Amino acid sequence: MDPLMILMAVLCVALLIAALMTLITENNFRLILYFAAFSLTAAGLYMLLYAPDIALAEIAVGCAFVPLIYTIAVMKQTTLNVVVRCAGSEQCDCYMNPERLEAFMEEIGRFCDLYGLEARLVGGLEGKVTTVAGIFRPSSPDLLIDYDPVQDLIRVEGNENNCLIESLERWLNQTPGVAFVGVGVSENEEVEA
Amino acid sequence: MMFVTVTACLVILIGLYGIVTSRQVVKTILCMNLVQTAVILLLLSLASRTGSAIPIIGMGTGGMVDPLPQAMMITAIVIGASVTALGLFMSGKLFHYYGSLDWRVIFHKDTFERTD
Repeated sequence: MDPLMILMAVLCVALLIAALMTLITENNFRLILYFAAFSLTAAGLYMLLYAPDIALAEIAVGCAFVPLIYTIAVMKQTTLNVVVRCAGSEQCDCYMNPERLEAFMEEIGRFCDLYGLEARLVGGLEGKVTTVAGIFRPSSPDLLIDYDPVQDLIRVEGNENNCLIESLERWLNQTPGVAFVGVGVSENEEVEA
Repeated sequence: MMFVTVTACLVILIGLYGIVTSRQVVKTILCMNLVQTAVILLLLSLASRTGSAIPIIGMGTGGMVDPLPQAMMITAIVIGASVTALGLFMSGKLFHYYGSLDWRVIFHKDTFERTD
């Protein structure tokens, strides 16, 4: 029997195994690795099917580029973007004591550790970000933190459709001096935006 | 190359099963990718039945394989990568909106909002 045919049969079996492993795995990073192995095996099969240029493109795109963008996307899905809109100087209306803000951020950090998330402080967005609602926005803040000096309250704004934010609301209700504001999107608001 | 064609068909079925039954959004997009790769393999295996040489003039002996499906498939690979990038962008937006990437949570939230 032709040795190339035997190699092809082995690659076919490896392809089926990689596809089945992709199907039964639930861990996202393992899924990406199995898909990279699947692409590499498929590239070998293309080479044996007399298509070397497609094998080259498949190795460059399916084996390197696509797993890279999957990895970036999965890593972005474990971050919680927090935007602080309190001013840093004492002249402004909404000045908040930095120690109090730090204590509050530690509280959010404890919540994120519980859910396996990572809180990321987004800076330099003062005045630009006005709401957390809506799917298609230029940036994706999950939490907006404001300070109300009259009532001495930290006002936290979050999207009420988000089930993580719902858990955070229950978590923050036990903390004094914090008010939670849920923002929802009705269809009319979405059209106007 | 009959068994390559059969393998490609089996992988297409595996990918379709994954698209229908997976609960994570990322896994659904990845199974779509799986189907795309398998379709390329299927068409190449069908094209390679016409000859036994790579489609370069002067290379090998005997008839060369059909070069037209190969030119099409190299386009399909690039389009597949673009579609993947678009789907992953949308999945990131869904995560920041619903706080979860489980299809059941997303669908439940949606119906809950409409009846409200």
